[in-house]
Amino acid sequence: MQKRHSQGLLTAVLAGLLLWSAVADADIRFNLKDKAPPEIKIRVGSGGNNTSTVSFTLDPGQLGNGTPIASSSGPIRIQLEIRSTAANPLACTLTVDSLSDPLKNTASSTTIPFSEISWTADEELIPSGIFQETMDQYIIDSQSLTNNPTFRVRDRLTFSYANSSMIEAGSYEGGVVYTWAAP
Amino acid sequence: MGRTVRAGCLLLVITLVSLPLHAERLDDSLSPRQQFDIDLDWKDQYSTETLDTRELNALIARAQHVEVRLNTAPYVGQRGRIFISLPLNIRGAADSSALRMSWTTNGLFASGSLTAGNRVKLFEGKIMEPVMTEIFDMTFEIDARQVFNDLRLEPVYDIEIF
Repeated sequence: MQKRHSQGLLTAVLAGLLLWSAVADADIRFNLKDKAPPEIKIRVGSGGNNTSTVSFTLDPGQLGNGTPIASSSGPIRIQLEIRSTAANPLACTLTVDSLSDPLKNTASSTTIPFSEISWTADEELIPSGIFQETMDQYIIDSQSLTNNPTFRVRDRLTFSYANSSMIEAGSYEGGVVYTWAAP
Repeated sequence: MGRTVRAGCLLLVITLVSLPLHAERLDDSLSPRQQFDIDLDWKDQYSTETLDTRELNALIARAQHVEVRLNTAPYVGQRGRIFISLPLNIRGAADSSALRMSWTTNGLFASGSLTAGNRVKLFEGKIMEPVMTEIFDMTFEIDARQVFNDLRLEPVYDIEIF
């Protein structure tokens, strides 16, 4: 008797649930796609189309004495940004090209290897390092920075000239290009 | 067998307490469109420089001109309150509390906003029509860090007669 009562109750419960489900099917449904447009951004120095300048000034008596020279222009800010969803996280890598535009004497063809230039990061979010004179020197990737699918990282790099060898007097100019890219 | 019955009884109790006393669910199946597929986008798209972490993660989606028709025929002539609610758990979201739905209307129902697991009053007064129709412009906001799959939301409408 107790068993029959239980079965009757179960039947009633199931009938109630089925009715509930039938009503629920009539609900207006909003399906929100999980693929928001992924965004990546990089800002070096003042950003935009501007190229930031790092300057070193050496007295003739200092040339090649092995004492590093700090830049006279102050640190350069680098900002990296990713926006993606947890469902579709974006992975990016920061590289730098210090080969394509070498430091060249503006009055002659003499060059200074970019491996003479190093940097120190304030926060070490972007690791300190030395230019390797390659087109795609790895600096950091997004997974090493955070597990969040959306983030922004800012650090400030202070550059230094190693001053390890004698060079021809004059003014030298060259450039490096940072790239923040998703595969 | 005994274990199955006990499980069924427990489920029934949970179902009953999920609706407030005397509230009855309203059928919206008369609405001309039952499904809306919409895309998420970043709420702040252009100048992200000054955004804080919450703003940087803010996603938004909009559904315009959502016509909702509620079958209020059994309540014509009575005074009632109509509510809208969202389930506590939103499919696709790791933390449903990170989602907010807001809306504007043409004026029959009140504009407002709602988070998952909560309920807001849309209307209070005498039920005059067997079918109450309102046009909603819906906005959904959620934190990108909580979006682990496509999100599925099904607002529920219910009525209390007083």
